[in-house]
Amino acid sequence: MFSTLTLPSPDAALPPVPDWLASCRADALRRLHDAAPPNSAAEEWRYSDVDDVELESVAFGAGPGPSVRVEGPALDGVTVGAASEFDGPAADSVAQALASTLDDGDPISLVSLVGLSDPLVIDVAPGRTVAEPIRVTIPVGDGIGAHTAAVVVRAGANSDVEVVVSSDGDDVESLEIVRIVVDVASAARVRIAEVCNVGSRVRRISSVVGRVERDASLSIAHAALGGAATRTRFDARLVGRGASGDLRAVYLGTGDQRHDLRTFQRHEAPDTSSNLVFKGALDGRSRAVYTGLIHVGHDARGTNATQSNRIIKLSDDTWAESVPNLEIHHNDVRCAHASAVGPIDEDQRFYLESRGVPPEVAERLVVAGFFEEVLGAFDRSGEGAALRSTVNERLGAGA
Amino acid sequence: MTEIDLDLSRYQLGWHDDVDYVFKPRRGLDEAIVREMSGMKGEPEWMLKRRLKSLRAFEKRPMPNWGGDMSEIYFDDIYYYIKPTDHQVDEWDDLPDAIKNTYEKLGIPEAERKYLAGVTAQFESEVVFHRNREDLEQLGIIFCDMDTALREYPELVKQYFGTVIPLNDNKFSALNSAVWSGGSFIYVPKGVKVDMPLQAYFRINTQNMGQFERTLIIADEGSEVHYIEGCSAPVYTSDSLHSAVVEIVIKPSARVTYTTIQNWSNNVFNLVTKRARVEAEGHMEWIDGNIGSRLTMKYPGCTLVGPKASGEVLSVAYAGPGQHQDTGAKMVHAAPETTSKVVSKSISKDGGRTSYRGLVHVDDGAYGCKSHVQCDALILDDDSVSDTYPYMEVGSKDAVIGHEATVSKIADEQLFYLQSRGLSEEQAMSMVVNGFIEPITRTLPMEYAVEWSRLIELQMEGSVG
Repeated sequence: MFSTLTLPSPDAALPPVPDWLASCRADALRRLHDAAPPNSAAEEWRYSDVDDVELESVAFGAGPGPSVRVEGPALDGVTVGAASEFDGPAADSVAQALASTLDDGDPISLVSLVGLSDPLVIDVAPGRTVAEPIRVTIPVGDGIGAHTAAVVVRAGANSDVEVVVSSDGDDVESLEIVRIVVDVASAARVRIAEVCNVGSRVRRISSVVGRVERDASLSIAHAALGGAATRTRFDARLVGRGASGDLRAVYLGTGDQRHDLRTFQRHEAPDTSSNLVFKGALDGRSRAVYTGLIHVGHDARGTNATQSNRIIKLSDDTWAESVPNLEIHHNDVRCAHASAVGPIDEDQRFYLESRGVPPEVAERLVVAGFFEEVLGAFDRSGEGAALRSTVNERLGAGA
Repeated sequence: MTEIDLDLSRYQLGWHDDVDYVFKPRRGLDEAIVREMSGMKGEPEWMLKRRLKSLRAFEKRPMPNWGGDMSEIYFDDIYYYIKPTDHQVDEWDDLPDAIKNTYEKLGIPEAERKYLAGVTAQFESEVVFHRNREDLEQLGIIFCDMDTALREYPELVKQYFGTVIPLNDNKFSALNSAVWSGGSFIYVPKGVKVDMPLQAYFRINTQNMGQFERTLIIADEGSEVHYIEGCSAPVYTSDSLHSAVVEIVIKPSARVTYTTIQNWSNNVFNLVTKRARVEAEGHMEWIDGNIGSRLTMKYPGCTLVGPKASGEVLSVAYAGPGQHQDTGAKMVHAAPETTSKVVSKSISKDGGRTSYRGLVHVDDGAYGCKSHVQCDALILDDDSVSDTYPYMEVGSKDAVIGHEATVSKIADEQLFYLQSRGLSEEQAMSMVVNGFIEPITRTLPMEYAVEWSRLIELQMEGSVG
């Protein structure tokens, strides 16, 4: 995607933001200049299309103020604000949260910070249970160059919160770079539901990076439905004893869509657990890549981790790649992964057809059932029904 | 806590016989060495050209940036060609005593004389002892070392050599293609089924000597053959490189089984390219046991080019202290209704690292393919590491491709049960591990299975802690 990437020089004039944010960006830019450019010969980019996205026109945000909207009334114990409003130690901690999630091996994470105008910060006070989900909308850019946005969610100890992130906007040719950083303090529970149903001309590169402390849990549900091409990266870093992570995603490819999903389950503390369930259905000439890693560190005694990626292929012209990896550095663990690629089960199709269900409807029903394990995770915030009908419509519209 | 420090290669195979070599060229690799080697062997012009082309490919290719740590391979510090005796011998008794002693210690004579068919024992770079059973010859089977084959059956060799693994397939296959020496050549004519396994023993016996054997097996239509390759090497202080290429051509409806027991000493880099080309309704089975070496990178592959061809890889890897077994399988489904199966079992202990790295690729239009990959890993202590890197690339719609893997330690309940029956903890562990790899052990010929179980038992000694 980035063969033609040209970057502003490290001392280029960037829009006015507080000094700390500017230095954050300058640092990312320096690192980006040093980082190896994405190259399909490198393992990291092996299955990605790195040829047709141009980043020279990254739109460096227009100035202070988040490019992200939050819907709904103000909630007790929840502070929502633009990062540029922070200063002193509070600003330092935001800067730290942003910088700690960068990965020099992944230039996109650096680009997302370089081009960042002003992240939205959501702070949940310790002990606070937020009953209603917080809804965040990321507007799709205006079609001029790449557009970046970031959300930082920080859940205090023993708090409970759900954040629903959706992208919204016209179907214009644009490149969206979205970064969600989640800090989960001890015993807190955070759920992130992300719905990506952008138009068919939008390309989207996003990452959700979570750091989970002692006895806390982070659940991420992601639906990749729209877009010309998406690349989504999920990192769950379990750094405190007893932390847990749950990653679920559905991806539906129709037409010439490309979905590229990359996951990291990092177990860095004892007794941590993680579970990953990804399900994809591919129709038309769509392509999907899944690359995942479970990493169990030397200190992660008692880890329990699973990873499963399953793909149904609905058409002959689709292409699927699945690379679920394990790296285990401790013996007292339970780790399993599974991956399967196949057509619709003939028995299921036959059963439905023998009951008078027309073939194309039967196919949709089977896919709907297949997705249900993941779509159920969207019900709590009320997104489930809309997602189900979107899936149904898109499959009905055919390739 | 009892710590018995047992290192198998030291424990059992840690001797080194002094052998007088007839010819010992200098270390390092350049065009002159390749020309000299080819000239001494009296090879045809096309082979020399091929070697030189391969050498250029080897020099051009970068070192792989994945897999194990290869930073301590010093290509300039290796002897690329050594000839152990001045001519080949037909009778066992004619072998030099030092070489015979080495084989005695490996227990070859008994094992072979009782059970086994033709013997091609590879000592150093070239085959020194080779005996064809008469009945093999009567069936029209050619079983000889590669150099002999090139002299006596040049047309056959020229037709197939390098057709399965191109000389520039990877850096190490290029190296092998430039400096290969020894290895086996087998041709099984149409419809001939070889009942007894054919086998060869390999051994590296000079410090810093690379061994670059080249094996080519051609199974003509409807034939069947089982080839066994066993390796063992004495311990040396500096590192050796073993980089073989094995090519197998399977004609329609033929079946080949290739069994390897790899037990190089813990200073050998074992970087091997093995691949079979399987035509319609043919079947290839790789059985691969890796217990030795410092680093093994080996991914036996099947390119399934004919309809209904099938391939299978069964592999066991054991990594002890300082060892890294990076093994796996490569299945390319290039024709309809082809099937493949991979079962990989690995055990890591005392800081060892095992990696499964495999690829299943289904071409566009290869309808009705099925593949299943299963990887199980046992990690016996806190210091050891296990990785799994499976790749699946699926082009056709109705391919059914599955992968599953588990990583765990030995269950306490299993140990408790066995100990409550009076076994010591060590015996119990050894029994569980042998049970874990049983699906593969049972496919081995009897004496190999016994030897393999024994090797595992030896490795398991001192594992309680």
